[in-house]
Amino acid sequence: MNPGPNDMPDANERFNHLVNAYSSWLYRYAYWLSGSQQVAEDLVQETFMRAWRFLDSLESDAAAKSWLTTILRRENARRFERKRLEYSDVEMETLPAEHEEFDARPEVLALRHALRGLPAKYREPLLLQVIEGYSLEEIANMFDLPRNTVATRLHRARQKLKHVLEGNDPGELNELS
Amino acid sequence: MNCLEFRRAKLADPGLDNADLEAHRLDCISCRQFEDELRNLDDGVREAFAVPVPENLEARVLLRQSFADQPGVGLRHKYWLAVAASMVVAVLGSLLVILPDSGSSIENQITSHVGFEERIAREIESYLPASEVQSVLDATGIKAPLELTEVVYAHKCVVANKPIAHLVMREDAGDFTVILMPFGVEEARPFSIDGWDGHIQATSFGGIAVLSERVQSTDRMQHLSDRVLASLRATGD
Repeated sequence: MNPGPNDMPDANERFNHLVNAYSSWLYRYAYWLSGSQQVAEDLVQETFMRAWRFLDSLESDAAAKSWLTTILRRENARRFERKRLEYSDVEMETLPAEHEEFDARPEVLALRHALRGLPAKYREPLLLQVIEGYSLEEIANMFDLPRNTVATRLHRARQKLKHVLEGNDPGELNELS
Repeated sequence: MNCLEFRRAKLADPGLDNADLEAHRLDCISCRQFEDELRNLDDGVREAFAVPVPENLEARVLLRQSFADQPGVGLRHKYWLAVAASMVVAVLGSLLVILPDSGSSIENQITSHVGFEERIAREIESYLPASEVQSVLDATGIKAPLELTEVVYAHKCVVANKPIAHLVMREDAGDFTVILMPFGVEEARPFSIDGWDGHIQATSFGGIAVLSERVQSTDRMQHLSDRVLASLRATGD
């Protein structure tokens, strides 16, 4: 039988560690899922509240990051369910970009615009791989997709970003979906 | 390995490396250049993905968690908690029969209960989702579709041995406390106890008390109480 949180030295201490270690990562990920700083913070809050309620289902702290990321993805999907929208139908380019004051160098803005134009199914694995160093297998497990599908999405994401940054039509990003 | 295979593999994962990839990389100048471009692209993506994280995000998460129930209440502990709760209720019920009425009024018990929440809530900048407020009401046994959008704190508490919904709401003039009770209140009345000014009255679901630690008139508290109840009526009570 696995130990429950109340059998552990201190569930609060364990939770505090998770919050301190992963809240920044989750916030950035949530921002790129939602396109809104306010929604991103709400998603992080909801994610940690759910994590707290089900802390005893996290068997190993080594799996914490993937576990929290999966919870956040589900919370985001619920947000769309509540709005009766199809998740895959809403892309960030249609959402208002908030607070673009951070790092406003032209080349960064151009890349950020290109990233926002990528459909979520391409942007999300790219974020997980580039920022967090997840392997193809780990991303495939997280998304419940075949490894080759994830590889194809990453392949296309980079190809299109490269294409756009080389001065081609950013509208071509839409052809990806 | 040819150039197409090398580039396909690197586009999916620029960090990927094995003997075949390495051999091709050493032999092919244009693929080396392609790989460098991809690494530069990933460096740029890393910079573009960087988003400033709000100050005190961790503190806000931990503050909210501090008001939540202990974890693990959901699954395998649920049955035993239900059994334990039943026993506690039975024991408390017996005690209530045996012990004489303390004589403490409901407003006295409410002002004894409230204390730190309004002060802590001042640090909270965002409103709670209506669904979360509703879940507190549901847990309290208040059958009312209450669409309150200015709530910064909501928690199920116990007053007079009964569950109540303890909310802190925000308006331009400051925060105020709302207690929603699933049990009846005999008559509407203002109160001023231990620095708290408030108003209490009966509702269709039980009772409501609105109070504030700031210096307020009890008329003002009644007005706020009516305003909260109006939002209840507007949603189809």
